[in-house]
Amino acid sequence: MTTPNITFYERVEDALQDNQLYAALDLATTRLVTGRHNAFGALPEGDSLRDHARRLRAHTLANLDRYLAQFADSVERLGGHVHWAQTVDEANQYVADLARARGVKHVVKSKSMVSEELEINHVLEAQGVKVMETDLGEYIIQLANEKPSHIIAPVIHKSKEDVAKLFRAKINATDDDLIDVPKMTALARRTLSSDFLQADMGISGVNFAVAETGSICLVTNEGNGRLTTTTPRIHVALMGMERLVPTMEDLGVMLQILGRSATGQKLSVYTNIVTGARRTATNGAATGPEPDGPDEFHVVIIDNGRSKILGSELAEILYCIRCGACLNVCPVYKKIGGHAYGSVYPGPIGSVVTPGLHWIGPWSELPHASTLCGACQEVCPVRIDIPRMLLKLRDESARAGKGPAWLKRGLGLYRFAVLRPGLYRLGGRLSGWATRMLGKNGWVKKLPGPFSGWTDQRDFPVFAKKSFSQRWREERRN
Amino acid sequence: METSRENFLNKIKNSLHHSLLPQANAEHPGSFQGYRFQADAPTDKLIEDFTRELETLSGHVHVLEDAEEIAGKILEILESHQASQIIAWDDASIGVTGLREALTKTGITIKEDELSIDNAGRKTRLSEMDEVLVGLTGAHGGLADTGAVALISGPGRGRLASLLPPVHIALLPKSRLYPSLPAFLSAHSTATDNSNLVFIAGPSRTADIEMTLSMGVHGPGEVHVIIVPGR
Ligand code: SF4
Repeated sequence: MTTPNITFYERVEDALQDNQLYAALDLATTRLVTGRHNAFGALPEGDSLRDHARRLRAHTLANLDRYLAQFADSVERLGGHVHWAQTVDEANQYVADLARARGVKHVVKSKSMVSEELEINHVLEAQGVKVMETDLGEYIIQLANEKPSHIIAPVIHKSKEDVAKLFRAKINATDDDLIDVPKMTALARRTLSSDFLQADMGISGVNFAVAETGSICLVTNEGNGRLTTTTPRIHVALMGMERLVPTMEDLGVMLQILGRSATGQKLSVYTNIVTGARRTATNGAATGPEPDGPDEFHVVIIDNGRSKILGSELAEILYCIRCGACLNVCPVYKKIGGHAYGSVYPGPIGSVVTPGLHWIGPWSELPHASTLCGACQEVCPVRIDIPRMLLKLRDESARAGKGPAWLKRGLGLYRFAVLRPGLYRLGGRLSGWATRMLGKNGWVKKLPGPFSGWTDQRDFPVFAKKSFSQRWREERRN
Repeated sequence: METSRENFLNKIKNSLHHSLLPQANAEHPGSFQGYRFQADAPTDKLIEDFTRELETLSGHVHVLEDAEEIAGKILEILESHQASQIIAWDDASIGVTGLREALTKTGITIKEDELSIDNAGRKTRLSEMDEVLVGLTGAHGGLADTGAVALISGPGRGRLASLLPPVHIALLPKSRLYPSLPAFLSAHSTATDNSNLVFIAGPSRTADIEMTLSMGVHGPGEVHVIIVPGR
């Protein structure tokens, strides 16, 4: 994953200046939150189903080595190929070698978050392969040469005018093509349809993989996921190693909550379950070849830092089913959008996963991009305790000396004062007086000296006229 | 460098010694007991729910009784699109005997849908199929709570009939209605024996641009489910 070249705080500052971004985020997240709310409202067993799903995820991860082995055996039994990739480079190398060996010139891709970790498009393009993103949102992202800003709604940050401008510049769209959103969508369909017919390889992600059957499940609304796994001769599925469920029945549990959490749909339009390449199969009493589907099936199982997360206090984050619900309710995400996080996974989930995958590395600010309000945990379909892990990461990064200097200085001063009651009282009175002098309408916009770090990011409240200890003494006297 | 399966899994095993996995049990938690669907709901109720749900998704539902009516409805849909070609499952898989013949008699061409093993031949066939406006399939199940149909691939049952053409017509026997997806799965333990099982809930859609709904982005933008008698 590429690291951004400006700091987190600079990115946040840019995002906060962007009124159009704010309006777009507000519209989309409000819609998604309402949709989710209504969908669960209409599912009386929703709460107990979520509890069950959480237990399933926990159990699967606790036995991950066993279930992965079972999954791989199931895939191989049907003639599929399994590749184990500890690193991004290994995964990319495998796909690149396969493409070269099979003379692949043209690849269609359906949406996959793990492929963003890999940045596999660049690797394939470097060897002369044409790679097309086929999810409408991802296609727009590819044309704009950007990164997705939401796990399930990648172009949440763009207006239709932005998209129209892009289509005009990149694919010669005419005025007629751009009259409204359905027309623009139709243009994208026309443009991409020849890619589906001509592609030699389809690359997909994996929403869930089923250990017992060796199946992978892809959930989409557009149908590009089905085409990607049907028209090209070769299908390669890229899979984060934690994406497993033990059985088809367990998959049913997950499907009951995924669509509802992600978009408020009871079920996404296409729930596509692929079990190996096409083969000789049965149809009632008859046996014969399946007419379509790929002739080769490959799955690349990717670690890329996940086993490190698994062996830590952050392991619970691997319960995640990538629904995006925690983004939509996060007061920080709603203000700054996905790009400000600078990583593949934005929002609350990203603030744990990204520092986790890289064991903090350059990502020490992300766990601070939260108010710890707990809204993410409340909506999470598998009830992941994200706030606990954000605190854990803050602690880790402070211990590693990664906290901002002003914070350390400020806390040092504070500690010195609270340990000396006389000094503390004096300091309290002084700062009360100072904030009243500096403040306007109850808020201080800029604190002086060592405290200025605080007001770089937010306002500081003016102290009450009487301190708590003053009032305490007065109350006791009366 | 290549990681072996053994190394990959050993790394996980080692990590598991230090994992904090709240609520993890060595035992599988078993089946979910709390589904609220009515296991023995009468067919009429299932049809009613299925119809309401699919119509909410802008799909069309037709409940028809005899073979002639069914052929008539299909022809009507073909005519409304001025379509003279279809991609279709075989008769046994559609579940109405003689349907293909009845359609060809009226001058409809049923396109070859077998993709060749050879890559160039495959692409040529795909391009030919891409001109077709209507796909006709059977269905292995209908889900009353979501309006989705379940299709299992197999010989004579290609995936592209429900995917490539802009219009998809699925014939669903009444007896194959299920209250929900979990109910369908528990009745079909062999659903993954063949290479593809798909649940289709209405027309293809996207809301990627400004949350504005568009239909038919890659898959069919028009979906008809004809509920027919039989098994
Ligand atoms: S953490 Fe929970 S809410 Fe957030 S994306 Fe993952 S599953 Fe969804």
